[in-house]
Amino acid sequence: MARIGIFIDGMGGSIPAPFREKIVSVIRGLPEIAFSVEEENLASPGALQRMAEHLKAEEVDRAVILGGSPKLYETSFNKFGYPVLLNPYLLTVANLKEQTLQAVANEEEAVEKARKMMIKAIHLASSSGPIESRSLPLTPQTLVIGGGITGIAIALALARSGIQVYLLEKGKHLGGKALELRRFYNRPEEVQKWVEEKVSEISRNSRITVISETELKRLDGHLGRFQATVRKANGTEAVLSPSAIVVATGYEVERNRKGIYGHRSFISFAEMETLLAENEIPSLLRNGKRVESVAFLLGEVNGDVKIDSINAVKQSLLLQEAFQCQTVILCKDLKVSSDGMERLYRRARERGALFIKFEEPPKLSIVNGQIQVDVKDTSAIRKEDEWPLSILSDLIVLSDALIPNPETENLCRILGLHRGNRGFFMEDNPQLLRVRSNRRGIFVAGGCRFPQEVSETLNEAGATAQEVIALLSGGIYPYDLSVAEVDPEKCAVCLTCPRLCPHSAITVEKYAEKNIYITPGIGEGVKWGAARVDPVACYGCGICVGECPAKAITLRHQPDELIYAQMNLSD
Amino acid sequence: MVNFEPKIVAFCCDQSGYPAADMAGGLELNFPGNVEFVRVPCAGRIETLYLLKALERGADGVLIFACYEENCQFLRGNLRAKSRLSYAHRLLEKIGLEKERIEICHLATNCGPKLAETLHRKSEQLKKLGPNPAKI
Amino acid sequence: MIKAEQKPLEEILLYLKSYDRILLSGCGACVTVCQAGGEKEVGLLASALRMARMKMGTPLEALEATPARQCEPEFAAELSETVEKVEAVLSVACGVGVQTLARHFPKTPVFPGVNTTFLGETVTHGVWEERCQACGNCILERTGGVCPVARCAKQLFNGPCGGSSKGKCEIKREADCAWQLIYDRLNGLGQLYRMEEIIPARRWGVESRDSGLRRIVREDLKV
Repeated sequence: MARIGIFIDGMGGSIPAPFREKIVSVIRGLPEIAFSVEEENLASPGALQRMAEHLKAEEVDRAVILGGSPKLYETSFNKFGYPVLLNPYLLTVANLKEQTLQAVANEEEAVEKARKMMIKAIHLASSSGPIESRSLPLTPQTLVIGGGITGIAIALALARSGIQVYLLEKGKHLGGKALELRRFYNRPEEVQKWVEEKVSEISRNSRITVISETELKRLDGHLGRFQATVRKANGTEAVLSPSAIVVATGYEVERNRKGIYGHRSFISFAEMETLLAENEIPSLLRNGKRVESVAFLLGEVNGDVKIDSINAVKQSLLLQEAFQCQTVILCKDLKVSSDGMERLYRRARERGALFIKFEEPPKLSIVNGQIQVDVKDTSAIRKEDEWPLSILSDLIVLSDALIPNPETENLCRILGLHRGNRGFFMEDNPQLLRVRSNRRGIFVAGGCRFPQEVSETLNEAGATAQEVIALLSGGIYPYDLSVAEVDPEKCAVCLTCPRLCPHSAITVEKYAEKNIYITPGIGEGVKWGAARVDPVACYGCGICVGECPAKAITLRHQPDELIYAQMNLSD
Repeated sequence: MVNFEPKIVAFCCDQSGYPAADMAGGLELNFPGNVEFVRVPCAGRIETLYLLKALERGADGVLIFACYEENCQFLRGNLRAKSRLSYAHRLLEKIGLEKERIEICHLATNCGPKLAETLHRKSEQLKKLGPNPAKI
Repeated sequence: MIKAEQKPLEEILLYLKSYDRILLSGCGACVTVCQAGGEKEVGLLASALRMARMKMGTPLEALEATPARQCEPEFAAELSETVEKVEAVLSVACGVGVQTLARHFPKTPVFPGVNTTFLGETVTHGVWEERCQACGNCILERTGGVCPVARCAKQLFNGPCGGSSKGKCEIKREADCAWQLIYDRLNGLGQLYRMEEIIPARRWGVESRDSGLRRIVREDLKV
């Protein structure tokens, strides 16, 4: 028989003593109840310590807390540590505060309800089993996929913390999209020089191995034991064993210059960037002709105008200040939410850049071989003050479409990651876990999540590096087996669970060399002829358990019996 | 039938439903008398069989408190719960039970009032439907 | 694999009308994979039956079992003890499994709980489609790996017929025309010339089940 210790939490007076007494009186003297102790604030570190001592002294094997929400105690265990010798899965909480006292108006009914809840909790505690804790050794080795500025920045940050990095780049050189950029909007140095410096720093760093002209072909394993097969352009393959993986493959640009957009007056931001860098101050020449006026047309190509806004304001300022050009920025919306952008915007305005806000997309036509933009300026306060404008400028800067890297789909398949709505890599949680992916140990950073400006991307690279360092620096990954487990003898290998697992934690593994079924149990190196849940990669959500047509999967910390016990029904 | 207090099994996703129940209690919003909360790590844990078993073993109604759609921490747990519910509804129809006996309610952690209101509404609805005639 | 679909509950209830104690037996192979008769479905169906009968006022006791493969005599034998305790068996295995149990338990009525539908493939999770009719004389080598017997509504050996329109079948508009698929596949393989080869008519009366029960005997394997 289980020996159960009862802890009654007064919750600082929320659960009054007479009420507590009425409840506990029913179980006092029952053989399985070893003791019951009163506390005023059980979630505090001191009380937890006292609780630990009680449990130790009385040699009980189960504990029940009568108090507030289990979430409260779980939070305090997270915060102050779990001092109790008892396996955490042998401790149950009856939520008397929120679910009876505060939820039932009539006191008699509340007592009745609370007693029922207490008995349910005792029953749950006695039918629970302990869950083993384990830890997985982690070697400080990572694979960073993509040698753009995100990958470069992450690799350097990781190397500085003593982590080995394989930097995988499919092209010949590092640098990626940043090489098309000449100037930062918020830093004085030139982008190319900055990239060159970083690349040379990488080449000097013994912890970073750059593997260029190479692509990821296959990925096996999970956090701590990934096996990444990479293939070089010349066909040779190698297997890397990183503990964690960062995807930083960036985005792609697509230039569509059909119809009127094929006119020579249209250039892209990237072309303008080159033009600005190649011309000598103070005169801007394009094809031998002097450029005196430039219009920027935003929102035509990309729905999200943040990057285009930054580039337009940055280039406009350069054009105005260095080359004495008249600039016009036509936009439906302008996003100046990045660091320092508000200031740049004001400066551009003060220097005479015209900002024209439109509702209806501008009409483009060719007049005397030049592009004429007809637009209605809606920035006036009164509707009748809106007036039509015709703008003739030497050049019109138009954005390229920023689209997901064409390899994203394939990479997602290889890596077992999800794609978001627009086809980019999807983060685990856009607010809380921006750079984590759906798989433990795989991170997504930079433009592969959505197009980002350089400064934004560098921030994100820093955040990602922090996450990776936090994961790997301890040298171990502690976990417990509160996960799903497949009984291989029942598994019909129907593939339902690997298809449904949101964390790609389930794989179907081949028979052992001799086709021998191994008895159920989670062990390293065991060969399964069935689906296998990796206990490190599993988040314990139970989706696979609910779906398995053979009922071959159990959630170890919440098997069927504990669900039925919670229902508290007959049978 | 005068004093019929319907028995409701309320499955609560640990990410939304359970904290919402805590909040409802904290706000001293009354729950109907006969509710049994079942805490699950994700609505995706709730098997179709649990929905039927709850009714078979004596519940008059079942509620699933799951996260809002597209808001599941585990990507599709709430959607799986919804699909399983629709399968259970088809079976209920064949069994000859009202499908209103099982319902899903999407909410977030801060939806305590919504949770309490849903429980009350369900309780009233079940009072009108009467006791579950199929319980064993 | 074999694909099956659960029979409507009302039909099953009709079979079981005069019985109060049954065994509901699933199968751990094909019908588990197509989610028609695995342990999960057995549990669901048993629960639904119990409730339906309770509501009718004639409670039903339903025992549950799911052998690894119902179509093997050894696995059927494992059910012997349980079958002795019941008045009838409802099997949610395919038609083969139902017959194995029927053969094994001569005194106990065995009812089918599923309709065995076809030999099919998983198109996407939860969607299965017919691929083979077990006609007994495979011609897939001539049709680029797409079976006209299973997939053409008219089972044409030399198609397509005049009803193939925009790649779809005229009999079932949402279905792909098998001969369009064959054409596309052969085109992709660079073997379009095969379309010109006439596939001779089949002697269905001799080669298929029209000639009566089919049987495979491997003398070397017999024990």
